[in-house]
Amino acid sequence: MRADDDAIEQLVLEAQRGDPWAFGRIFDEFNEPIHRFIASRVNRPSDAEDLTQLVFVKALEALPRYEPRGIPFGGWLFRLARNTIIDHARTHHEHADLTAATHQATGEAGPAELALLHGDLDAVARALAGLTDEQREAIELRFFAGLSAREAAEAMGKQEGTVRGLQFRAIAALRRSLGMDLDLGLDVDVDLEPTRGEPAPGLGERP
Amino acid sequence: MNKESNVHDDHPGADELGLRLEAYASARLSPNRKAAARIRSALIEEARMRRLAVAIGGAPRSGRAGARRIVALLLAAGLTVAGAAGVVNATSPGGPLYGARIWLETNTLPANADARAMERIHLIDERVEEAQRAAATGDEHAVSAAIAAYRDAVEAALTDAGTVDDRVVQLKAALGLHVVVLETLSDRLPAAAAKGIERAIEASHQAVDRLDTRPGDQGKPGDHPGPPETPGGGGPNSAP
Repeated sequence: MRADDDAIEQLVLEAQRGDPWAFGRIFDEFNEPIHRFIASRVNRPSDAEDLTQLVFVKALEALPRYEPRGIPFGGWLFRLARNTIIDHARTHHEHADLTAATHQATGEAGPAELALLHGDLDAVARALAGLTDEQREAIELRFFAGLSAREAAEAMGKQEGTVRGLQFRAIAALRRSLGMDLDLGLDVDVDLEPTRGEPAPGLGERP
Repeated sequence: MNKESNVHDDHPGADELGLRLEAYASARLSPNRKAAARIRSALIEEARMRRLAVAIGGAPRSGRAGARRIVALLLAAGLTVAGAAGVVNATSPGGPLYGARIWLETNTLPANADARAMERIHLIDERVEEAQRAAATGDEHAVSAAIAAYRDAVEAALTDAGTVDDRVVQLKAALGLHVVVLETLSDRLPAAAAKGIERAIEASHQAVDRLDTRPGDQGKPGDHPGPPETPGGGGPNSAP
């Protein structure tokens, strides 16, 4: 269970005053979502770890300049993460490839269960790879990192409604790719096709 | 950030997909716990160093804060000299600035009572680690200095733990571990140094006994069980 926004802001305030413990608590709150977001964008687990640490070091440096002013801290932090990934991709000439995402231990399942599990995970990875960069980023921020639409919008430098739209189309595309029920009872005109032909500025743009 | 409510309302049928995405993220994107712990420690250390740098660079020149600035500058100078000369760090146990370092650490503890109590435990952990490192190099003088600082730190930790259950439990757990570590150290050191270790072990046992005889949880989060902040408002959250 993640701390609420007020608790986070309080921790941020204490960290800004120089309290290392408060910064440790901020790390506890955001480490997993930040790592998930980064790991979905880089090829090597070691890179994900290094970049996660780098994001928090940058946050520590920039924290004195952070002012809430209506900007959720999560959005601010993920914008830092996003820029860090962009810099990494530029430096290492690496295009984030979800199909090569890290393969971590999957508990104590037996061989047959593992095969099924890996098969399903691979299918999810392929479905994600079929999204546009922006759709995928919306999914990563909302589902993997657990950000609110407002925070995701702040991280992506977009309007909240735009992010909701990206997410909506991404979900439809994922369901289609994964062979899930497409009869959603929608009474709105939604493009259910993965929009692969669209320009995909995605992470290529710096906010 | 509310993971439970932020995605499922936006799209019909997102629940099932959400479960598959969560399974994917959990299996392939989640951080390694050991790595996370290592990163956390490094970040806390980085935050500490930054706080120290602020204390050196931006403190007012009056009263206690001014004194802290002087100590911090001395620390910095000591570190520089030690680094340049390639000798043992002056702020290491037994070094000329070790006491100043301890003073600075204890005067920049968090104001929040829970955080302060946790930080006290962290400090006694550090003292034990210092003793271990000193013992590993055969420096009995440094072991003695670290152990003396350990005993003082245990006293301060007892005060800040107060009677709040959570703090007491964590302090007792830390002290229990320290006893094991110190007993191992004691076996490896010459008799003279071992005596100091034995006194530290005794102090740990006594501290645990005192915690055991305290009444139940009478505090509440945010209460400060110990003495008031140092004169001059030298808490960590005040400008150094």
